[in-house]
Amino acid sequence: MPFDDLADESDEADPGDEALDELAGTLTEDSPADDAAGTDETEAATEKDIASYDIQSEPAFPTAKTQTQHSVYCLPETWDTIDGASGLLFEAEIMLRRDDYEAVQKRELHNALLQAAAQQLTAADIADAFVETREDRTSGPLLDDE
Amino acid sequence: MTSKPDSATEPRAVAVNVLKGGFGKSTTAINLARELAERNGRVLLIDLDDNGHTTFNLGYRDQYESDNHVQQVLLDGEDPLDHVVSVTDELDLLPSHEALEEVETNLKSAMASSQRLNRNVVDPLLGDTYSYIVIDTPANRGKINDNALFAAKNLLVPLRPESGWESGITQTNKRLIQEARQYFDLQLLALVPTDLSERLDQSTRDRNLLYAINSRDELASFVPNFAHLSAADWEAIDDGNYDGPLPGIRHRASIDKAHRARKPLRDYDPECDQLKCYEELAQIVENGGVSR
Repeated sequence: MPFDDLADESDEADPGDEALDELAGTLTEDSPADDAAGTDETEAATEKDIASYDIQSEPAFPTAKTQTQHSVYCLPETWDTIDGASGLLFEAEIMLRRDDYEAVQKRELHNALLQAAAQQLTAADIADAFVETREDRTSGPLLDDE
Repeated sequence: MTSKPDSATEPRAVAVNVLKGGFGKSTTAINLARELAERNGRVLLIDLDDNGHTTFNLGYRDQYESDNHVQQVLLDGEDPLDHVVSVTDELDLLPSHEALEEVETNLKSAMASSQRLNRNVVDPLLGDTYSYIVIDTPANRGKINDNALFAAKNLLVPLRPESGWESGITQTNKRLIQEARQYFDLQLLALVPTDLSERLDQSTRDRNLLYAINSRDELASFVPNFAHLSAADWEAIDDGNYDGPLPGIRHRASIDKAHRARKPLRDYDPECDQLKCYEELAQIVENGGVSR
């Protein structure tokens, strides 16, 4: 999909088919083989798979949409901080590539972001950020209602 | 010669693009960049077309076949200035590479996949290091083209009167301009008829092209003055009374010879009468559009 990284994903209020298609477009290219492998990935992982895995060049896990794809909602500026041209994940990807990690996939970066946040933030941190956004709203709408 | 820009002219990037091969993108990009450098000082020409014609025609085939510097700049975040080469004192080239297909594939899975040329090259260099940046682009849709359009925000479309030029402009509008405009403001600066050589008083492809773009109000405002023909001009042409300049960038042997000499036209044949057309293209980029 052209310019998929510029699409405003906050438009996707209802995760219907179209929204899911859009979201799929923001992930890496999918192949039926990826999905099939993802349904029972653990069982399919043979000793040979484990032995031949190259940590520098191969993604840690397949796309496996049914297991890995989720809707995440946030304000445009929040998403830009994460995924924009100056975003956190852009910087992380550059760091990884400079450390000779190849095929750095969006799914791995999204997972790493959420994993890092989950490990380091407490419920109170999230509640504080929630309240802060509510308070920001008192100064005016945070989004144009299209 | 067309007038020099005033000091208020702002730095600008422009992509030279049409979704059809062999329409003169490389020739237009090289000579536009050279004229911008002649008039304004430092200019960067970026070759993102995997056919490498711009790079070959400026004598840098070795860069095309060496390490994949485009991958290093767009994906790995290396400094683009470590990879530019000099064409003239004021004109630099970031060459194309034979493995751009690999870059295209890697961009698809990268973060901010349409924004990396802007972030890594155009934003840090435009205005500070270079007054203008000209980007030669591939003739197919993809992430490299997305990057070129998002970074440039301005577009110049060359049109050669060959079979299929109609579908070339139609596809470019539908699949490039309109899609890009869903996400950001992309300005079409000019439609550039190039490599013309046929009669206009008969039904030739040159006539069909020039008539098509000059007779439609929505297109005519993008036609440079060197290719503009009014209703009165067409009447005069059909009556055999037209005595104005021949419109469009005309076919000249020295344009082809300049490529073989690995030089821009101005440096190969500074007396070529078609240089005035490239000067006007430079002026159009400086002004952000055609001034009638």
